[in-house]
Amino acid sequence: MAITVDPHRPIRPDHDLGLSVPKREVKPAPDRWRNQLGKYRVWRYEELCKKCGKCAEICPNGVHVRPEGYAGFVRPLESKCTAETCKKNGTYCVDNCPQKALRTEVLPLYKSLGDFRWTADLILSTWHMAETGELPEGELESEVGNSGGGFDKIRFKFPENGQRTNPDEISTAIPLNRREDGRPKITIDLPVYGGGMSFGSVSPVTILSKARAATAWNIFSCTGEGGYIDRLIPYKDHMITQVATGLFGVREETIRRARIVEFKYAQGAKPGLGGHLLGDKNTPAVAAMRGAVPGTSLFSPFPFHSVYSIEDHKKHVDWIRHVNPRALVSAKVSTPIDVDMVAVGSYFAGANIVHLDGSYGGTGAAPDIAKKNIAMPIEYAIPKVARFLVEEGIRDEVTLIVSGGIRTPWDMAKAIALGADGVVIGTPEMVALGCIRCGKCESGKGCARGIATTDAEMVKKMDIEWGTQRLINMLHAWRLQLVDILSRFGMSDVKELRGRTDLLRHLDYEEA
Amino acid sequence: MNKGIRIYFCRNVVEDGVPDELQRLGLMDDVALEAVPCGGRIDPRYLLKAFEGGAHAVCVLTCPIAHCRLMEGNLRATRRVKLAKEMLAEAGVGSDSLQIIMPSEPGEDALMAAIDKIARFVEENSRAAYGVMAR
Amino acid sequence: MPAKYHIHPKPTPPKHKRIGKYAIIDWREDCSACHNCVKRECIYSVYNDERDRLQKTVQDYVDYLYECKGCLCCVQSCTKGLLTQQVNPEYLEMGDDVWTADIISSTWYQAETAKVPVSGAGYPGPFRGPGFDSILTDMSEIVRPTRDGIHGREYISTQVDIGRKPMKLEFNPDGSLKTDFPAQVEIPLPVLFNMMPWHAPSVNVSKAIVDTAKALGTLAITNEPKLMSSESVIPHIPEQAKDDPAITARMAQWSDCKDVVARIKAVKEKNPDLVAIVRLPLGSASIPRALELAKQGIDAFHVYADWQGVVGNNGKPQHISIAVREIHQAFVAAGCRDEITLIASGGISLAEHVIKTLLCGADLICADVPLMVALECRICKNCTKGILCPIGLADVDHDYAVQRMVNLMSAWHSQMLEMMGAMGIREARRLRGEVGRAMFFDDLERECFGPVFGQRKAVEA
Repeated sequence: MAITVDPHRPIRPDHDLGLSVPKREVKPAPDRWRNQLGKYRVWRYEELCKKCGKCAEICPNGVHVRPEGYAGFVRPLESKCTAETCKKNGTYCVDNCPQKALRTEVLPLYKSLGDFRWTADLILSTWHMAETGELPEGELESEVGNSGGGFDKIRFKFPENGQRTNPDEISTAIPLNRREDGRPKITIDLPVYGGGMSFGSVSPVTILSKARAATAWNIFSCTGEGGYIDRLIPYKDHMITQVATGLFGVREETIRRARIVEFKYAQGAKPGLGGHLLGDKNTPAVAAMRGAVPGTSLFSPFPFHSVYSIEDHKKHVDWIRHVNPRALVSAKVSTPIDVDMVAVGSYFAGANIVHLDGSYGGTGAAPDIAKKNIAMPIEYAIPKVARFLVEEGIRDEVTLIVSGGIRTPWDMAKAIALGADGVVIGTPEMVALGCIRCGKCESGKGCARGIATTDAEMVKKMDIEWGTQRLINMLHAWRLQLVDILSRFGMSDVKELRGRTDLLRHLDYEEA
Repeated sequence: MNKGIRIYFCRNVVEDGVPDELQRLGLMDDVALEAVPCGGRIDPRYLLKAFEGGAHAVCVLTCPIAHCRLMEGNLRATRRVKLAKEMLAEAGVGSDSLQIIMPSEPGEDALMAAIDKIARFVEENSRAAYGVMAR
Repeated sequence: MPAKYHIHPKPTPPKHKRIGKYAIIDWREDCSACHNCVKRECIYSVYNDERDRLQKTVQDYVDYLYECKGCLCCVQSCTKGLLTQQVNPEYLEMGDDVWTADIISSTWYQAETAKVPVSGAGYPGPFRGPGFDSILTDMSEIVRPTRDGIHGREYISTQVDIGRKPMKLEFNPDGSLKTDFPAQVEIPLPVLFNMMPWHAPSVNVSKAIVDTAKALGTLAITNEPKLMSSESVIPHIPEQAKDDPAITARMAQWSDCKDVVARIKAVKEKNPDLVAIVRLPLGSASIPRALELAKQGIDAFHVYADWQGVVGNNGKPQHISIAVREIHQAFVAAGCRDEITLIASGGISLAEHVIKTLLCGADLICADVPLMVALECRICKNCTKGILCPIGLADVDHDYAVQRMVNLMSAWHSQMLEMMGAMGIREARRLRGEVGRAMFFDDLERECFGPVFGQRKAVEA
């Protein structure tokens, strides 16, 4: 059942509206499409098949299904097939069929899916995680993409026969306030939280699913620059209020409500450029939230025209502190050449969290030229900034959060080992909700998959309960992977991993 | 600019680039060569449209039997060509001017044999249409 | 402040079939014709368009449509799972390593709409690439503010000058200017139009290029004798040719030859306002020659790489970006960089390449192949083989051609503003050699990863 979302509906806890209270438990959340995508096509020549049932017997994944009481088989559940692995294990149905009535081929669709950074394998493995909450097994390459640099060339140096720690005793929590400034010591249970996606760029269902999953995992999600929709208020303890250059929907109460306020100075999707909401997506509800005229394209200026120095930045921080003395301040900056100076400056201006957003990430629509060329990838920025913070003697007073191209739990662990405290994710959440990265977020009605759209019809393609569960499942799998990595290193806390560059190697570098 | 002979070929039948022999056919003045992603993309509507647009011969090249990436694209193409032929026959167009050619087995030799067949098809049809003076 | 520079774009749909990326294949025979057919749901109405086309197009062939945007909604929703998607083989075959299919289709889009190509979901490409893809540009925040140029809130100038610049001004005792001011040409866009690298276009196409240059306020280099009278032309004078066209032109380009300095001097006596350009191949070998010519009073140099941006350089191939940096630095070392103008060309296919070439040290660039691609060229290079052009480029409609090229330059202009705005640079003149605003991947690897991972493996040649 799809629930239509009216952002101005009276505020009541969502469970009153028939929604469940989000809980940190894994439940199966199968693909919301009828035909699941997989790597293989499995074909049965009906003329040859004698319906002996050998294939169903031998298949480890339940691809061949014969319903109770039927003589024939239903269409093979191709998405579950792992032909290459089966060939090695002797469970390959094609080899074992007495009639030679079966055939498998790598699906041409699989080859057309994905890109260098998000390969088809990464998309499919993220879907697997979102569906089951478990780590992907089998033959999907779920650790790295195919971009030929950065995280894709970095590997962990796991000790051989090292002492493993008990996974149950590993803590993945990180503190967000490391300064002694009298503000609350907020701790999140995973070193990851959700990135800002504005009401207008994505559908309210998407925003709510993210917020609910964040609540379940005791992490955060972010409003983005499009204002704070009332439906989010029940989850306010897990929402970051973003103050961006357009100041859309920023009001005193939205700042008072928040436990963390984030200044978006720049974003990795389009460093050096402001946000841009196309007229088509600016529906009356969006316009009301942003205090704008429906149907017009909304440009955020770049930069904050009130910030031209670190001192101006401090004024900004002081303004927030004045409005809400209990809020932590996060400064979201992109990665220019002098990103280390910007990070240190942000700290001295009073920020609790420095959030670096690298150039290859981003979920929203952005000019291709900016996505590709402007600012440096996050892989470079992390060690650069972390080193500078250590040299300045303030590493332990600032929480360094990074984002922009974090795709997998492996990327998260590598980013932490390079020197970050935690990461922010955007695209993995979208993929978990069914994004295939076609990149057409901006055209016409918006997203064809009903994620990044405000069109009333398209929004109905997704259900809040389902979306919440997919994200909860994915985060569960991410935690499993992180715990596994920590356990293999004999660590018992994710904080021990931070800055352990000695545990990493880069395939393009000489072995020490 | 309408060409008299149209060759549709499945892109998967020629894994690494279009063979020169086929390319050369496509460079002939009267021949249009169009790659399709799979034999299963062949559509009777398009085939008929080609004739309606002025083609007098259309030829389809697909993967050998049991070697389609999509399992049955070539079989579908065969069926569709057959369907189009029936319609052409009804309209009074000789069904020889539409042909589907399939290599007998995977591998270079069979493919070359199939391309030879296409070349012959092209030759016959260009002569049929223009007589001797065309070449 | 000079008047703001405006380009007047107009949507200009292509005349030939677009080559799209995705194709949907369906097993229509098995369709049970259910009432909720996914084909009707397509938000891009691809299926409806195809049907309409089949019904309405009567005379011509119908080519297979590849308008699918690859959202996979139909593939995943079809009740019987009859649909599947593939990449269009024609799309994959288009172009080559440098002129990739993605660049071609992006250029087509820009020439059609004059809009900046926009897409969602982050950068999908490889981490780094060769040539221009190994350079990133900087952005500014907090401490170094950006410029908000794209929406016109702050004016960012893309004007550049071609010609010799005096290094100091001298005045007569009465206060009047004593310095003899050399000839200069100002153009509002750091882009000139070049001759085509692999074939001579028809007069028709050359005329369209010249008229586009006129519409944009820039100039086009040509050797087409019929067009020499236009004021937007830079005549190209090969070694054996006569110097006559230069006598009436604002700017002229000579191929390098022994007596080029003497020839230019002779022409300049008749046409003192002429800006003389000498065309040299890029590469270390030409640097001494360029310095010598500069000493002898040549105003500007057009240094070129091949059409893929590769410089032969005596068997040690270089990318244009590296070669331009070398010659720029040689002029800086010789202390005369500010006096002369460097025009670079070859392998510049996107707006970002313009900016990056400028950052590497050129004053402006020459565009060539992108103009052809704007006219729907597919870089099949049939023309070089003497085979029929699939789009009949030679007979292109003049107004259509001019508008397509104007559109492309408009999109380039907008994109240059975006990049310059992000860098916080308000003047295209200031981009020249500003490597402080560029990040080279090799430097980033060394600075950021070096302390972590040690020594980078030598790249295999």
